[in-house]
Amino acid sequence: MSVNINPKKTGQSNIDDQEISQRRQNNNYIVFGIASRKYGVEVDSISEIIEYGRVLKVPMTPSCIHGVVYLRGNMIAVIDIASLFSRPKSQPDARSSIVIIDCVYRGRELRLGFLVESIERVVELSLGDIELRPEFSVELDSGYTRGIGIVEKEMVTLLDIENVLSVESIMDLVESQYR
Amino acid sequence: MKITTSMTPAGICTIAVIGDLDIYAAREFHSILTSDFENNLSGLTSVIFDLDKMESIDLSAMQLIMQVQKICVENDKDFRVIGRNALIKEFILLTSSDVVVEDRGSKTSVDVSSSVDIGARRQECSGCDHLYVSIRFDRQIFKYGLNPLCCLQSLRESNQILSVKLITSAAPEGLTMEPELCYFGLELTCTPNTSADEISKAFELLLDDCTLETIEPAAPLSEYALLLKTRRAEWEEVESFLLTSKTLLPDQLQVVHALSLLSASEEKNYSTQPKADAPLTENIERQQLETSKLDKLIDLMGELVISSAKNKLLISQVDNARLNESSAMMSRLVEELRETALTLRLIRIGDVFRRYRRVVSDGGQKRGKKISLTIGGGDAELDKSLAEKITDPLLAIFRHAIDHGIECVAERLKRGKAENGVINVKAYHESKSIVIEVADDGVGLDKNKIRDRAVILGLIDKNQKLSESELFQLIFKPAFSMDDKSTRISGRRDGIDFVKTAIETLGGSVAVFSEKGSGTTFVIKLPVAAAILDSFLVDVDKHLYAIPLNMVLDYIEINEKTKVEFIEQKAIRFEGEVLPLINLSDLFQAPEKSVRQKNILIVKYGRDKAGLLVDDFKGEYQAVIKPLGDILQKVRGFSGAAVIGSQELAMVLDIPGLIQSKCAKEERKFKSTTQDNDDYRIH
Repeated sequence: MSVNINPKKTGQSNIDDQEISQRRQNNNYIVFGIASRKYGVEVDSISEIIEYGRVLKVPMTPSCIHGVVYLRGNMIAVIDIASLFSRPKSQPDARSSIVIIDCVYRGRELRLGFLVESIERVVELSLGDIELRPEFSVELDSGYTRGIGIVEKEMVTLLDIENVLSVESIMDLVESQYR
Repeated sequence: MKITTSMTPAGICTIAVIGDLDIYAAREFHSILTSDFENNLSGLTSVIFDLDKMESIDLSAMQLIMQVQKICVENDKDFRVIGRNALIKEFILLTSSDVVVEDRGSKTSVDVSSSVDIGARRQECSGCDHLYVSIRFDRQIFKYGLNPLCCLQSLRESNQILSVKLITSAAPEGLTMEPELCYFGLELTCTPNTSADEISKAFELLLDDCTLETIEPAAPLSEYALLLKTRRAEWEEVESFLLTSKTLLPDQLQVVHALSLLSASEEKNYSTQPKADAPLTENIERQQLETSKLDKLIDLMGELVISSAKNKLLISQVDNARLNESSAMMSRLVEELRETALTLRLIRIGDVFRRYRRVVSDGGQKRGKKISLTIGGGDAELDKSLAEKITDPLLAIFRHAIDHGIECVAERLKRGKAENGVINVKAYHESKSIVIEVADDGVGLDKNKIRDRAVILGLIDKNQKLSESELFQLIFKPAFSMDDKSTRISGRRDGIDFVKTAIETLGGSVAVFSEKGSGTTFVIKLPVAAAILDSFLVDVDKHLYAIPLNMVLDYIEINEKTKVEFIEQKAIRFEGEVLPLINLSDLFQAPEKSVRQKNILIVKYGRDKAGLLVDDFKGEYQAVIKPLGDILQKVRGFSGAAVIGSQELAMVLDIPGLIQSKCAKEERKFKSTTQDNDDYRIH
């Protein structure tokens, strides 16, 4: 089973300008759990979410490489974000999913997946709901985050997923394994 | 090649190029332009290219510079190219695009329905007295080492070119282009005494990879219209050149424009003699479409083979004779279908080799060497996708032979060799592999020199003993280059370090044989078809691994009856030979170790053999092999992932790599005094 999240479908043709500008302000985020913390990623940057299963381990790679999955004819690398954030490796269970994103590397389209412990919900956050520069210290490099959102009294770290899953830095990590 | 950029506070960006700006510099040049220019565009007032110290330019660099120019014009920035040398002349000649075409408005308003007029004028002659040439190149030509600007040079030297223009419409917006692809086309006009044959000759080496159209002097307007039709996507540029080169008068261009807009059926109404041959470009497009469909077919075929294998397995468990029979029949048919489907994608390897003739003769000439390429066994067939992927590695090997292999003429004569150096390339089948040999009759590799250099680079220990083949493998190490000075043709990728990785990603291997003084031979082994692999599955710590079946020599189950002689757990004796033993469980360092009794799989690759210590044998399966993808392209120890049945996945072990690293490791352990006793981690 797979859930298709097509951002194009949310836009309707007969919305007026006011609504458009409001939509620009408000973004939909998918909230998920990784290493018992809540993170959010903009829906638009996600191409699909698949159930966890059939992951092939790749020995002799850094711990951030969770493995590869076979999706419609291609092998897609699955990244363990917890490991990237120097937290204990994720242990997948029945609630785990793999979130697939499209990125561009050297002019080519590239698909990449990352492991999440659970998918919580989709929330709409306006700019006002997001603390862009939180005063309290966050465990992450500021390049990785877009801010902190409050969802039902719970803090959600909004990730800049393209920076977190930078193809170059992951490739460097893989290569550094053999030095 | 060196590129420096500087920026003044006033927003003047100067980009200076020193040395050669060729295809090997294209990617670097592109990234410099993107970061230093495109990202700072808003703060810039003018852009200056300083080409004073540049030695040569090729079309790939021209493309990038002209894109920058385009962006500058669009954004109202000043753009200048400075320098004193001949390159500037060439540059200005090719980039003179500041011509405004008049009458654009009235042209589009030409009434197509005034058919009498157009019809009557279609046979009218253009009145110009020069030959018109229009060339579009294959996107990949740079990768074959071809540079269209070189071909222009010979025509220019004989003063046959009247005017020339680069057609840039096919390039993507701004700097989003892939720097190693060719997007530009050429339009030129030549003196009346130039024949179409001379043009073909000048572009001889490009002919396989371009479409070349020539229009004789004073040809009927309908011929220009036909050309315009095939160049529909670039009509604005082509039309403006037709005017500026004085090929057509403005009113003639209007007629040509109108004619080119006529559909095929309307065309017939005017045409007394319809042109029989369709434009070449259409053919090519159709071909490409078929290729993508073919790939889809092969993909489906792979899936079908797998599900049929699974079906067969399930049916065999049911134990129904009739069902078994029908399933066996079906498996046979699927197998036959698979073999046929795979042959559809095979191309003759001779066609691949022929592209290198130019590289070899040109490259030799530049270096004062006489080199010719001989081709043997060109009829051997290779999977199309593989053929495309070996283009770059083969090119690097040829260049190595040209730069470091063949000696210059004087040197050869002194050594009593023929004046002409020969690079011989041949291909043949060997079991399920295709073998490509590239042999030159040059200086050969100097073992001592390689050794010394490897020690300096810290690749090997001073006292380390290496066999000849191991020593030769060192030349594939990055940063390893026998010559300190980088030569023009090898450029940035001097040395052939990337050859080995490229070939190994394709599931192949490369070996080097050389005799000092009499030449070097590179032997590349590749699987014939990459898509489906007969493989042997093993279990290590509850994970499946696949080994190409043609590399499996034997398997030994260890129980009370079999006796295997272990040597310090590091090697075993097998049929009188001592083979290194690779403990996969140790190598992979899996978190949960299995406590199963181990078994040993004997694998071979070329002359090398080794034992693999695994948990269990799962038997032979057909698997579809998939690459691990860009992100994991540098992963070592594996050559891809195998999809078996509809459920199972397995990593495909890179046996050549494993054996090699194991042997290297062991030798270091046995022979060096400083012994490091860690695991068998690769490298």
